[in-house]
Amino acid sequence: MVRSLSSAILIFCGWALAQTASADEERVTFEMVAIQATSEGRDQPAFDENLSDLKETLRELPYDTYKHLVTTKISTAYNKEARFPIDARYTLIVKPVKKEHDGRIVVETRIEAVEAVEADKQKPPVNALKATSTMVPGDRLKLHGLKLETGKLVIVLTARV
Amino acid sequence: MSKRRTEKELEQWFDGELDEAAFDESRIENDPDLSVHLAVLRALRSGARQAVPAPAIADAQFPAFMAGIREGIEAPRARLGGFWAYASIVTAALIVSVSLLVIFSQGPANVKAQTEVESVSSDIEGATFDTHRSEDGSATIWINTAGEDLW
Repeated sequence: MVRSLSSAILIFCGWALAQTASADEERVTFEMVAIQATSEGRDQPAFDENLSDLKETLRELPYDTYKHLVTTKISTAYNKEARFPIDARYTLIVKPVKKEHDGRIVVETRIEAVEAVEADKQKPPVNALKATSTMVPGDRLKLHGLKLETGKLVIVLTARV
Repeated sequence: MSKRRTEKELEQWFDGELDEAAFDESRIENDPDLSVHLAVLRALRSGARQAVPAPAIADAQFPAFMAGIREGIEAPRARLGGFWAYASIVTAALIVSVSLLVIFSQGPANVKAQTEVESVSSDIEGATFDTHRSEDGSATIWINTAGEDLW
């Protein structure tokens, strides 16, 4: 009876440890909204219809006209990069590093930029912006200021688990 | 004749080591001390007869007796310590597993902290940064590149 009870307990221990191991395979879903922002002298800021959910978030930025470029949603595991192409020049790369005890996620973000030259004179991409942030799931991280052909690039990034 | 010698003769007579003719029993009646001594001897004999006789091992039984002694010496002791060690290990493993299961099976903690920018950098020469947090909890990074061109 003692042997049977011990075997049952050890089997339970193995199952419990398997459950804890599965926690490490958790994935993070990122949503990126890329926006072209310009200042045109408006009295009130103007937003594309696609950006209605982000009006309050964008209102504090120093622009008055916001045009939606692209929205992408990607799910990735910890320590795996997710690439969000924006246009011919910029690509956003995001990597969730770890989950903190308080539930926040440490995220590494970088915006790769390619100099616009002829194809045979392409230089390797540079990191126009690199940042490490501790994000609350559901909160937004705004990156803005990089130049576009017209206006500035604004990126709104949201992480969810 | 000394008193001690007399008592010794009385003891020998009492134990049957003297002939009856060698000891004059009338001396016991005439000597109070000898009477008392005889009474003591009789009491001792009576007490000795009432004592439990110790079991004796006969010669034929001695080999079996020694075999039993050797078996007792060579028999392994009951390993109660082994049982308790095993039980302790199993209990410790159970406690650790249950604790880990409780910790990792809990849902996401109520996050009260805010999104924070820990570090910012750029490969663009002359780039400057500004970071701040908005009232809605979002964090903002503003990169300012010098000049009109990206590089």
